[in-house]
Amino acid sequence: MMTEVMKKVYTYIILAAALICGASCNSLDLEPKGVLDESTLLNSEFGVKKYLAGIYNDSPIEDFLYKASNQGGVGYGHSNSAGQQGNWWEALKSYSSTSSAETAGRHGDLSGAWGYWPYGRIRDINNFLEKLPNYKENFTEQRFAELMAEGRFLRALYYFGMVKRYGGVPIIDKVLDPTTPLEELRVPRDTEYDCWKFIYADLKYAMDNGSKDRSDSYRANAYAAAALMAKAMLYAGSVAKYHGYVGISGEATDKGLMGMDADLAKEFFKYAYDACKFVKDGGYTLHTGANKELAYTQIFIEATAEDIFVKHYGLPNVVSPWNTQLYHSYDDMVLPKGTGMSQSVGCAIQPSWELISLYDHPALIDEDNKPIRFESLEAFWNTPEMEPRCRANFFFSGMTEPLSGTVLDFQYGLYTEYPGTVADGCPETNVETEYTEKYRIREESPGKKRKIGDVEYKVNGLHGYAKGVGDEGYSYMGTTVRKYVDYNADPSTRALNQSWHPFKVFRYGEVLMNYAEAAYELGLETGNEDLKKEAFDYIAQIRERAGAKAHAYNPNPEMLDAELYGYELDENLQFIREERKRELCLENQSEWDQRRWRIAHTVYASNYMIHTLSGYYVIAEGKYIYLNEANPFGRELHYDSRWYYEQIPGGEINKNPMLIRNDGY
Amino acid sequence: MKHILNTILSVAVLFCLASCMKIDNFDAPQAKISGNLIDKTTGKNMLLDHGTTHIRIWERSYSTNPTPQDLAIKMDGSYNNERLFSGTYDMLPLDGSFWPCDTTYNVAIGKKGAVQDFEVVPYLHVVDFTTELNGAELTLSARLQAPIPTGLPQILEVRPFLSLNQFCGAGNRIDYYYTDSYRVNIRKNWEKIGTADGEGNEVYSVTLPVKPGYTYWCRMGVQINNTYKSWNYSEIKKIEVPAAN
Repeated sequence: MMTEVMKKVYTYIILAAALICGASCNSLDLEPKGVLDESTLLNSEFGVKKYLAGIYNDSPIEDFLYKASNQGGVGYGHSNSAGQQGNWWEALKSYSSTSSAETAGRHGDLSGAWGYWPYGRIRDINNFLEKLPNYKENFTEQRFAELMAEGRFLRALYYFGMVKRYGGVPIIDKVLDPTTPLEELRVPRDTEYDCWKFIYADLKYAMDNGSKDRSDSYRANAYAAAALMAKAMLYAGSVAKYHGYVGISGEATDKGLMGMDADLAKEFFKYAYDACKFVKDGGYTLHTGANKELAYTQIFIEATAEDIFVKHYGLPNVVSPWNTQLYHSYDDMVLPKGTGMSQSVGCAIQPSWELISLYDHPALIDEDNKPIRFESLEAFWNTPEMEPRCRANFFFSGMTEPLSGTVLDFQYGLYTEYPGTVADGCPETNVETEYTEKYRIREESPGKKRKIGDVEYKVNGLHGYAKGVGDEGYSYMGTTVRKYVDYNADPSTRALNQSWHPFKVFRYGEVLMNYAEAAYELGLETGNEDLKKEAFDYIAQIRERAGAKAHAYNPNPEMLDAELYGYELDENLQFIREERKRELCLENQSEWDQRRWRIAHTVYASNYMIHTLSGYYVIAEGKYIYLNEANPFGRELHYDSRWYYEQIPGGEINKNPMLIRNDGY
Repeated sequence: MKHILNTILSVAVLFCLASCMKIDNFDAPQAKISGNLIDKTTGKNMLLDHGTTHIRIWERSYSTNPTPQDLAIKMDGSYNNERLFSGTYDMLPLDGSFWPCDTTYNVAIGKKGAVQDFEVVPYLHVVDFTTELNGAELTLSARLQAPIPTGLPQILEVRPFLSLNQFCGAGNRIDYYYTDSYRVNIRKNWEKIGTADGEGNEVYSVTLPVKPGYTYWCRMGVQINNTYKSWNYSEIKKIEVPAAN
């Protein structure tokens, strides 16, 4: 009996053994089914979209999530890098507008580098460009070329993010094999000139082959490539032309890793000029309307004919076509606290008088240096003298915030009387003088009233200024930001991490500004008067749309003294630069403009104080005045000339001793 | 069995106690170097600011591509370091406001101490420095001189520096005065502000409000457009502002 059982057991054991052994006859080297590999990703339109999505998400776009200042943890926002959640609500505290005196905010210091070195993503793009041809038969010939063009655009975008920071970097245009000898993997830096030419070549390809379909503003088409071309080449041309004035020397400069010969500038200005023409010929137009102020606010909130390339956001719980897991906090961070407005932080950036005063506006000071009296605080902006674009960009006292219907009030305080000049009411930050002690009344918290004699007066507005509330929540600059504030949103989105209105990465307005500057610079470099004149055609279009007064080209411009910018500047070019500030403020452009023009270390040579637009009621006269005071938090700027180029990250130099350090550190 | 256990235990105790001993077989660095940064044109020490000018040293006896170290130079132009490793060093004065000079090679630095002076030519001299106190207003003025006028980098600005202690310069200043209102903005090349033999045309003067009852140390500086945007200084003067009654 026992043997019968034993026999059975043996049979089972042998059978099992045979099965196990037999398994090896099947190939176990199977592709795992849960992993999306290249054969899945690159063989269809949808797969490519998936492959590129992460690359788009990490790309160096200075949007609502971009932190410019080193003090606030610098970097780009994104939602998908390993271990990093980059939907930074606090980005507005170190927003780049504060680093360029457009706004007052907590962090404006641009010192130091943050080690931006996105070769991982560049490898992904190189891999895409190398492998996609293997799947060419899955696409039409045209579509294949368009996708290759999109890849080249993305590579140029990443390189632009590095070259504008470091000058020359190693050009890696293929997938490096990790098993190659270390010496070959240690690629030295290419010259700055070669890097810009590399970006040029990628973008030229993307312009020539890219899609001309304009329905997909969130993926780069040929026109997005042209817009980037214009921006990057204008940057390169400016570096070539102006870097010599910075006066930095050393090994990296000698080897061409920092800066270029000044006579290379015209080559780049020409590329920029041609790229702008390409966009213009593509049929883009400026968005406008009967009400210029309203139309101007629409550019940033609605889809318009001006959009070229747009970054979309989307909350996980909101039904949107772009469920990107990427969101921001712009509205909550820039609006003041109040009914239907900011729910938690508020006023993290506040416009400076340095910026507002660039627009057409009524005078604040008379010929005796006394403040001009207004009938109301509204009288400053609610007049044809005020440029509509300025009203569209900033909220002034007495304006109604469209979504909440709240009337904004930033009254700064009271003066019992104001016998003195403007200077009497504008001492240094936080200094009380005999004059201010005698006449001026301010309050600790917003919206306070006070009885003076028998009459009760409103001391300050509901939304600022109040001495005791700190530097956020309420306005201490006398205005707040309106540009990009979503007037269509669900009111509940005015909270942290709840905003998802898009960011216009490239719009036709910017292209026209690039067009004007490139044309004028090219005209200067080549002595071509027609080009200089042409620049002012584009300025005219921009100003006409903005509702600003017309400004004519001056055929005999004066030269501005070098004391202003460290080099002499043609007044026409100065006007173009100012127009650029007016048109592109708060879009994270001017940090880079002041860098490429190499003017920051001269303009901010002293501690550069940011000024307010403070409206007061003068009791004795029953009138209002505006003063431009030093901001109460002493926010000022400084710029060191070596910051034009950031230092190559130390960790990278340790890995690759071939990398030469930038000079000046 | 017991014997083995005891042996193991005692060995273990010995091992553990070894960490209580403190033997470092390498002495603390004790080599010394000192010297001066001398203005070649006057033979005197350079007038410097606290901690902004350095001597960069490379230790050649250790590696062919050593990491450089920077020795600080004092305000009076002297320097002294007593915590270096003995060896042969290359030395180069750096990031100050003087014409670039050559590296001094193979300086032997040992425990006995070495002295190494460097001669440099400053970009500019700030001369004829005068101060005039008028009530609570202090007027500082000075003129420039260029030892080598040709090829001089652009002259950026002239500024007064005030301090409440004897250390005075761009690195230690009362920040209140560091504004556009208290400077002379120049941003010109030497040809426009001075003669070919190196004499400045203009006397630059700045008037500042000062507080009664305070003692200030002040000097004037001129900034030059080189890599380090460095300053040449006048000597320092001490100003006692009488107390208001």
